[in-house]
Amino acid sequence: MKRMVTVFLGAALVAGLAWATPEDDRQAFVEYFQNRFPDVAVADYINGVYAIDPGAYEQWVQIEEFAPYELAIAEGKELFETPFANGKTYADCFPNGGIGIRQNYPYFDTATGQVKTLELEINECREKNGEKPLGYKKGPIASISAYMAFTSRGQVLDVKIPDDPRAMAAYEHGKEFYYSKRGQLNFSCADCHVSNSGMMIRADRLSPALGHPTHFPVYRSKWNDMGTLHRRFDGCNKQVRAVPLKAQGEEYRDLEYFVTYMSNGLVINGPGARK
Amino acid sequence: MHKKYVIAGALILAGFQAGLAQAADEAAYKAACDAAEEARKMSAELKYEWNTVAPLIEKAGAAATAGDFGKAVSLCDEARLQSEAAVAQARQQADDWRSAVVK
Repeated sequence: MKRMVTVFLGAALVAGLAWATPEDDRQAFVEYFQNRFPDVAVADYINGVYAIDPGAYEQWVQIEEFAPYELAIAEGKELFETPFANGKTYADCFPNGGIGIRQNYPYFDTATGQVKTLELEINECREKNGEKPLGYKKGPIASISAYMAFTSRGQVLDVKIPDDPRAMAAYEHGKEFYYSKRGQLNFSCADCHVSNSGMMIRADRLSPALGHPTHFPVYRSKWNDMGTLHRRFDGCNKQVRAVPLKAQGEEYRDLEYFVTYMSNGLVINGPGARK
Repeated sequence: MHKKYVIAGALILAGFQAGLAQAADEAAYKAACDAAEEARKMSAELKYEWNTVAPLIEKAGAAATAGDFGKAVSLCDEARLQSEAAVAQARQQADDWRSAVVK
């Protein structure tokens, strides 16, 4: 009898660990950061590293007065509204004419069985209308994405994982990528932005993972340019001395799916300005 | 007259030996580099390639072109070892990542 109880409890524990739902993961994620930075309100994580570094926050507020991403918003608006050769525009491809929808991306598309990001759909829209796709990491796509994020400011991130085993597999795939160490330095995304968040790495403070996707695309001073989230993934992978994977490839899209789900409930404040 | 033949023979023999040595060095370089490239491809297939490997193979090629096969072999061996470490990392992380998940 005692052995049966032990086996049952063991099985229940294993099942509990194996069947942690995405919502369980998200709540544990939020609680982790609440415990790590007890003085920081959850809503403030949309400000990235500036939520946990008061000195840098003051400088950032001043930068925001003449935000370096404003030109990208203006360019993005113009590109967004300029008709394709066939007379259609981006607005024809997206729900609500593409305005105020950033918070719903990425999403799992049950028709194709894959995660769709905003940038992926911008290019799908172009190709559907006979235009050449844009590069995924910077340039016009970052501007269009910046404009679409700007029209979504204040909207609450609401990434959904439908009741579809393929969606769950994509989420788990992204989660695996996030927690897997890679590169010669043997670092995972979580090593920097979860367990070492707030610590200094050379002259920079490591930002907390919670809230990361709310403010992309960003104008990054290091780049002197705008960049998409996948450009940042690319850079992070290079920094740990790994060969980066393809922007908008399955791995990075699934990674975005997991990372963004972890920030569900926070508001969109993109585009952002970062060091 | 006889002395001239002896010197010429010695020079031909030395040249032949040098040629053989260079061929052996080049073969060693090719073997080391092929092994490095094979290991690199395996790490890339697993999507775990390190970005330090391709530059080592490139430097090895430059050293071989300059005739420094010893350096080329050494660089290719280093590239192979790093790629093997990347493959081992991929296999280890396939199981270990779960223990890092925030719970």
